[in-house]
Amino acid sequence: MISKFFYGLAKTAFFALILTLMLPWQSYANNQETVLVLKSEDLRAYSEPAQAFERSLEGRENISVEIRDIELNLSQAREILREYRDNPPAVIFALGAHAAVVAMETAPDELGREIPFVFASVLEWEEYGFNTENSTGIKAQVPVQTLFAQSRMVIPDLERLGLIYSPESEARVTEAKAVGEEMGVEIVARRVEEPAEVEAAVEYLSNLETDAWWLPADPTVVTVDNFHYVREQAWNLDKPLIVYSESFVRAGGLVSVSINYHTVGSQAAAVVSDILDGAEVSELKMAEPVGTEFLGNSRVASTIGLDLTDSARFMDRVLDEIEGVE
Amino acid sequence: MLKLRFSKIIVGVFLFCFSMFFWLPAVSATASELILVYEPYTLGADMAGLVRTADSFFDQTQNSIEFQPVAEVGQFLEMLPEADYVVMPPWVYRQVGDEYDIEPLLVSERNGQKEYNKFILSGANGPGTEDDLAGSEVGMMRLGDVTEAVLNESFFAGGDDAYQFNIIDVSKPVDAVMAASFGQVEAAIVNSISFDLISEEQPQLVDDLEIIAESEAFSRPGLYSMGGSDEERIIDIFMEMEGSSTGQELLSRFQIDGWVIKNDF
Repeated sequence: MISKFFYGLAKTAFFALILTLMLPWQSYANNQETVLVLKSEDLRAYSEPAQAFERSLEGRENISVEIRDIELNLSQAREILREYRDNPPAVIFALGAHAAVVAMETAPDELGREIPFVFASVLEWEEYGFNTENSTGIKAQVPVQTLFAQSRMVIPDLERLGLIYSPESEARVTEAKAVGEEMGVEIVARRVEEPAEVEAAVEYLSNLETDAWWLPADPTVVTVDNFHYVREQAWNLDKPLIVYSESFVRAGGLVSVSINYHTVGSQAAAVVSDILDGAEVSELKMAEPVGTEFLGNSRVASTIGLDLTDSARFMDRVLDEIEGVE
Repeated sequence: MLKLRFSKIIVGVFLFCFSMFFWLPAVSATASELILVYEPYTLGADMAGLVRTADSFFDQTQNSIEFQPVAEVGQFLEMLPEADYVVMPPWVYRQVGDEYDIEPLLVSERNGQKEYNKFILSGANGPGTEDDLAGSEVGMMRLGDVTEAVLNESFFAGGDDAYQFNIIDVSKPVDAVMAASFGQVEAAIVNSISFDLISEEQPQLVDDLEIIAESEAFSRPGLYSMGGSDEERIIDIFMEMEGSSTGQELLSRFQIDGWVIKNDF
């Protein structure tokens, strides 16, 4: 009887010991927080910031970063979020408009509460009505002052910049005019309402004295045919053509200044770190993207009588071919 | 008959193998040697133009040398074991020099300077001193896995946790300077080689920046041997670079006046 009692006591003590030993692990698991990265789809614009974001947070203790792709699919997004119902992420980093809208609208439904989120790569983010009490982000376009400063590395005497725009890029042009005034760059702009008006606008610009032309990201202006027309005219007039992405540098633009995806991830990691450290999301303003991907085309430069050798020191890459041109 | 033919073959193979001792070194001496280059401060992005200039220079010296510049430190470290010689900044040497048994040969020189410093630059609304950096966002060219080591070596000798700010890693030094200048980050970390270059080309970008910390001096980027077969010959080629127009063009791409022997690497 007594031995049975001691046997039972020893058994209880043994299990108590095991439980005690497990406690630190249990508390470690409780301290572990998840940061959920939601990519809208599998594009470089989302994958590269996601990887840089994960790397930037690697040194931070008790944080696990999980990258998930919602594949532009709301049901997929809901399924992913349901996996976190019992242990919701501390912060969501949403890449692209679809993921940001999911973080704003779907996450509270599926997770039972609002989760603070940081978003990036969302064009015209103001139109989505994100709640600034709960979200902040990195803007998706290079600040105009950065664009002008980098353009001046190739065109040092840049004082008059010609551009064609539609109502879709009205805000960007207004910003460019204001910044241009501060930086001594006069904007010579021609507004069009539809793609068919672009040729006439190019003719108009061709007769004005400008140091370079700039094609902002404007879907009404930049169609395939319009781009080829603008490019040919720019080459004929030896006019440097500033574009907004690598594909247009490949197709004959002189330089492009676009956001640097890696740096966006690094910036978002800094914002998320601040939130994890207790910063109020409402006090974190939308950040301008830091850094650029600055590309040049040496073949185009030769075509218009420029030499990129010196300015290439400030570039990320120099391409040496024009697509479709031997 | 068959036995005689077989022994002839064996003798033939033996003679061939024996003769290799004489002709193989000669062949390997004329094989191309790889100079791997990682110099992120001045070379910039025109890798194709750089290779053209370098090829033209090395062809003139009648040496079979493959000149391979690399833009990213991770890729450089991956390719390092294949190189015979390397041009790189001294911080890479300190990270991997022992591991690969790398030998310093020459150092680059500009305006009589063989050394450079690193600066912490504060923007208009940035921290007043190095001690106020905690919690700030600081722009710095990305150096991959060696970022912390380089940073601690330059400014924060107290150990891995010595700095308490968020590094925003950018792809090139001018991005860090611009970001600090335009108030997108509170401060930037760049070296004096990049800073001087940006100050010359875009002085307005550095007008509002203040140097709040300066590291000790480091050797400028140099030429190192990875066990190349004829170091004396390579040293001569580099030191005589300024003697030809293509050599001068190559020096100009590196933004240096020449290469000199420096004994205290």
